[in-house]
Amino acid sequence: MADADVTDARTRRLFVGVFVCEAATIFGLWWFSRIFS
Amino acid sequence: MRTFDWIVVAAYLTWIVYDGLKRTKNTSEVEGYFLANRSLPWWAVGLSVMATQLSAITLVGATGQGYADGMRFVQFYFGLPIAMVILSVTLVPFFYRARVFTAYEYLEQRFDLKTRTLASVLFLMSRGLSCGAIIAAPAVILSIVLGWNLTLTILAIGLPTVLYTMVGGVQAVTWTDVKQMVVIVVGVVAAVIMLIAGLPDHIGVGKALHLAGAAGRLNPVDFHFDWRQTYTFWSGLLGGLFLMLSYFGCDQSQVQRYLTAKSVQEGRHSLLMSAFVKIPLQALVLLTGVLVFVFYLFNQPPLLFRPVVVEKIQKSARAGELQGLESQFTQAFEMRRAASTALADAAGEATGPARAAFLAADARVSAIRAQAATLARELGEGGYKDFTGDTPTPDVNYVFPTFVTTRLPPGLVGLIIAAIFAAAMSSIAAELNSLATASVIDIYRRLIRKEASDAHYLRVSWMATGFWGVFACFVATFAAGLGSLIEVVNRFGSFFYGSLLGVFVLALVFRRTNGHGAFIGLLAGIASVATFALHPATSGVSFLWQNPLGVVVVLIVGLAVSAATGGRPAASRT
Repeated sequence: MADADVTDARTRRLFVGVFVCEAATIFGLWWFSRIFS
Repeated sequence: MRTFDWIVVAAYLTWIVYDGLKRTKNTSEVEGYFLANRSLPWWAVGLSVMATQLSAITLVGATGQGYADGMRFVQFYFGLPIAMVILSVTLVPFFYRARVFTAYEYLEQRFDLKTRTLASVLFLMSRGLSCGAIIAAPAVILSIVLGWNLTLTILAIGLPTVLYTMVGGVQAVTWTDVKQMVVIVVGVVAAVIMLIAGLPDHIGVGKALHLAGAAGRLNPVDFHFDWRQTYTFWSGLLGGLFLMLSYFGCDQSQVQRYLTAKSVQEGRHSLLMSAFVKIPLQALVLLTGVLVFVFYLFNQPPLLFRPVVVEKIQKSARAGELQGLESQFTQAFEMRRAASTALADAAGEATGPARAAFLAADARVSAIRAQAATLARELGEGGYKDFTGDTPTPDVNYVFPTFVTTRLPPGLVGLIIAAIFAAAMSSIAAELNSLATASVIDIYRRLIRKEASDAHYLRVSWMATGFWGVFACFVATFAAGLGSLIEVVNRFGSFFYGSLLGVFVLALVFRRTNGHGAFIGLLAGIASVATFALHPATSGVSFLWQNPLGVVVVLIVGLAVSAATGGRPAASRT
């Protein structure tokens, strides 16, 4: 299998990290606006 | 600008040009010149991806948006992280495996020459014009705010960028992008620190944010669904997802960034850097604008931010009306300042008399500004019919440069002007480099002269970069005089994005589709999006939804035409 087809473990963890981070960021922004509104 | 500021800006320009010019190592071959021999580390490519996306007009426009309308603009980027993951799994490995120079080269491998050429020509047309707009927009603002000659400002931004991009190729673009990104972040952080330091003694950061919240400026997440609104959670997440997939997956100015990475994994990681950093960075830029708003609660802002418009009214027969409005504005500002202090002392109470008094005073300030906008409109400034939040839309891009040049100390003004230059130059360099690549690889080498030495193609590449640079500066000079042209150019570009993405989805997902389907599907997609955007019944729908529309039309037409023309021979399905 070519290198291009392989998604290594680190990259897969990064993918999960992206989704977790985005959810946390959006929640954080929403929470931030709730505190100061 | 004072002497020290000029020195800072001149030092920045000298440093960047010197750094770009010395990056000529391994650029004696076409692959070195356009793809750095696929040797760059992920973090440099990642910063270059971000610097390319962050243009000067994004920097000054977003801070102005933050000032006038709060943080809702951040939702525009909610689809970006998901797009980056999808691209990392799909297009990035495909492009690497295909060993292509341009995204459109892959379309010939998968479909045929006419589809590749059409996609490349669409890219050249839209990006060639938009490159002019990318130079024109900040040049107009800087020339007015700083009192510089417009043509000289365009040349000050354009010429150094053309010079190092032409000589150093993609390595110069990437490594200068890295430094420019640092300058931009340092400039923004310095502005935030100065804004916080510039608050009155009794107003801390918490109280400042309570005031911003009370004025409706802290509104980063809006879950309401409305087709006409661009800045909602759903528009950003779904419409924005398609836009970001198109921009990062099908636009050569971005594809070329990650094709320079050492490996497919490094290419993926460079995109994932944006996935992690873009939303927080954009939130910081918008928060800067929000803090400018709070700063102007305690320091009187201009009634209108565009000095040319103020001068025009002052020279007209209605100068007296403006004087009257200025006087009312000063009184209203003083009342709002007192109300701001009272609300801050009440710890930003959610309801109650202090909040009601603050909102009433803020509404009064907005109402007087609206009267001034009406005056400007009646004197021929047509753009003053639209408002972003409480600020006339044409004024929004002038808020941050006005604050910087009138309120910050010497040295820091130069640093932030350098950051605006950096934002403009990093985007322009990547555009020029990608325009040259598409011109040489997709058009010249493929259609005009197929067999020639690397030295020949390299000379042509230099010439192509120079040509696009001169073309962009020319368009910028022309566009600067016609403000609305910039919007037209941007809108023109947005017609293609969804449709181009549709062709790549056809290529990757539907193995039976052929070149006829892709070609006709692409044309149908562009025609549909243009009709949708310009038709009175649908023109009010946010442009973000044009992207999914383009994808859907290309898929339907592409599949139908492919089926009608015999599909793709089984032997060539891979």
